[in-house]
Amino acid sequence: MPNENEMRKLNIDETIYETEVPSSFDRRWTPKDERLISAFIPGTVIEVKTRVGSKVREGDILLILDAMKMYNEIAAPVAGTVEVVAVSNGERVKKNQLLVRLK
Amino acid sequence: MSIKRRLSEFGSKVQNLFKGGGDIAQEKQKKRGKLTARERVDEILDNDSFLETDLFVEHSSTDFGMDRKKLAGDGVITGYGKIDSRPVAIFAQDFTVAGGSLGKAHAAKIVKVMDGAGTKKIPLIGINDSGGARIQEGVDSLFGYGEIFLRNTTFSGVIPQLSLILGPCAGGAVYSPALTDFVFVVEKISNMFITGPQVIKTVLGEDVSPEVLGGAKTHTTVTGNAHFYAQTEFEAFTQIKRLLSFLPANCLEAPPEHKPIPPVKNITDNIIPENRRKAYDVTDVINGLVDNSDFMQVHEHFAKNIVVGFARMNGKTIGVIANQPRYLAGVLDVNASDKAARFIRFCDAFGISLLTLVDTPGYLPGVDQEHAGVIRHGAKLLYSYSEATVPKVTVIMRKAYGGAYIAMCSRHLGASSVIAWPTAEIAVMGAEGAANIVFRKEIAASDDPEATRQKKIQEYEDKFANPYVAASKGYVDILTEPHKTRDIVIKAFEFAGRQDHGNSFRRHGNIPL
Repeated sequence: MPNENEMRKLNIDETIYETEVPSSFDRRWTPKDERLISAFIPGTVIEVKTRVGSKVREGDILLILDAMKMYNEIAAPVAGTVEVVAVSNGERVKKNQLLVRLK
Repeated sequence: MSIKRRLSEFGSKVQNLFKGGGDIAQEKQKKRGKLTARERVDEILDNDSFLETDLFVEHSSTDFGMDRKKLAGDGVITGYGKIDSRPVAIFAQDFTVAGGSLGKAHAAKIVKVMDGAGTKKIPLIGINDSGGARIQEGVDSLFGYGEIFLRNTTFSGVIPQLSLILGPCAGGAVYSPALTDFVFVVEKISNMFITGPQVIKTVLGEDVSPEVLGGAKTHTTVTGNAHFYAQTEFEAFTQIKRLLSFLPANCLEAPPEHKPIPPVKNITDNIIPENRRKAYDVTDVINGLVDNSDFMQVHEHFAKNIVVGFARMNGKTIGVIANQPRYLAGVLDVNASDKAARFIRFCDAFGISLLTLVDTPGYLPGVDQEHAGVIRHGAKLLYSYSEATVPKVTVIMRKAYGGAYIAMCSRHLGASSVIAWPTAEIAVMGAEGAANIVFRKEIAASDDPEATRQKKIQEYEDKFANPYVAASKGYVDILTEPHKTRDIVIKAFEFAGRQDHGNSFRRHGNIPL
């Protein structure tokens, strides 16, 4: 299988090595912002249970997402005020699509 | 009925059964670029060596009009044959017969030939080309899969089990190949997945092609579910024959011995680059050490930072595990640990000695790796090396730092012999990192921190980046130059016996998975 990568620099314990580095290595980890609530699975929004400006506590149900033949309750991971409701009832959503943003 | 009529009736029955799903279905199979099940069996086995069993088996299903359906051989060809004059058991699913679907009789034929392989203690080759469970037979087909999985597992480590994916292999069916030792896939022909593209589309609304989801490239580069990638079915058959030439028929037998042939090109003393941060291709070292430079890589395209595969030294099969400095500097990570651990355990199960070539800067740093469970996966490597009772010879070529030094079959994990080159650097970590920690205060207090830093790195390197500290403590047994290494490794294997951990009373260990 042809898969020739060019030589690049890789730092391991402060020593710089010249070696092949796959493209997947460039996708770095970024910390998660808990106030952005997105779909963990593709599906259909059954019922939005909150509105912009609502104060929510941690664990309050924000909406119901139908996926894998299950009604999944999407809860607020942290307390806050709803800033954006990005979806409406009956809307199909992709994986990782933004549902609600808290402030 | 006269004997003559009986014989001609028999002849026409056989002729019909040999047609599988019939001429049209066979044509369709060929149009897909695939050989028929019978052609596959003939191509893999030595000429005229096939002894077919259960050609006349029929299903006894009656639901959904099945009572009116005749399925030739119930969609699978089974029997015994020879490869390079050595016996094997074989089954080949016939996609032209009801899509190669697995019903009760189909499964019973496979189970029977598996049991035959187990009692005769000969390798099993399974050719998968099936749409999955025969829905009309309901839970009976699930029972069939379960019976097969059970045998894949009970014969694991007893006989080598090889799976060829030459068509679709989806849903529960994937778990039989997954339980076997080696999986072969062919470009544009092999497809393996738990849920196919159509289900993913309807349930999740995601569009993905079968090739991207579970094609030959995906499984040999991304998932590691398959070990060998081939462009054509014929290439896969050649790979199977070559692989079997290295393997014993079972765990009680020694691997076949071949005439010792020196490497095509011996390794020279300048095989390691002058600059210690520069990469080189470790397969050049392997080819320079093993008989006839004949090295067969397993998982060649997956976790390329570690190279594993079969070769011979002095005519005897060995398993080689080598860090690959050319790729990701030869670091250990989640996939490399899994790849090496599984290979080591196969070799240990079948009495194949292990040669480990070490040049690794350590474990790959990063949140991704930590979150992917590099602790749990890295532990598999330690576990499998420690557990292995076959002769284990280790050659430290260059970097052997920290935890990775221990993991790569060090003396401490029970290596029979540890050999090191003068270029070896056996230390707790690389000079740069170590100098920054050990001389942190001195560097910070200096008028020219960078100059001091470089000086201290050099100091540390001069003192510790060599094999002599480890050799002075007996952690390295033998020091030698690259060009003498082949002879020394051969001797080391000769004098290394099988180890006994004295724990044969235990049921089995609990490998971290």
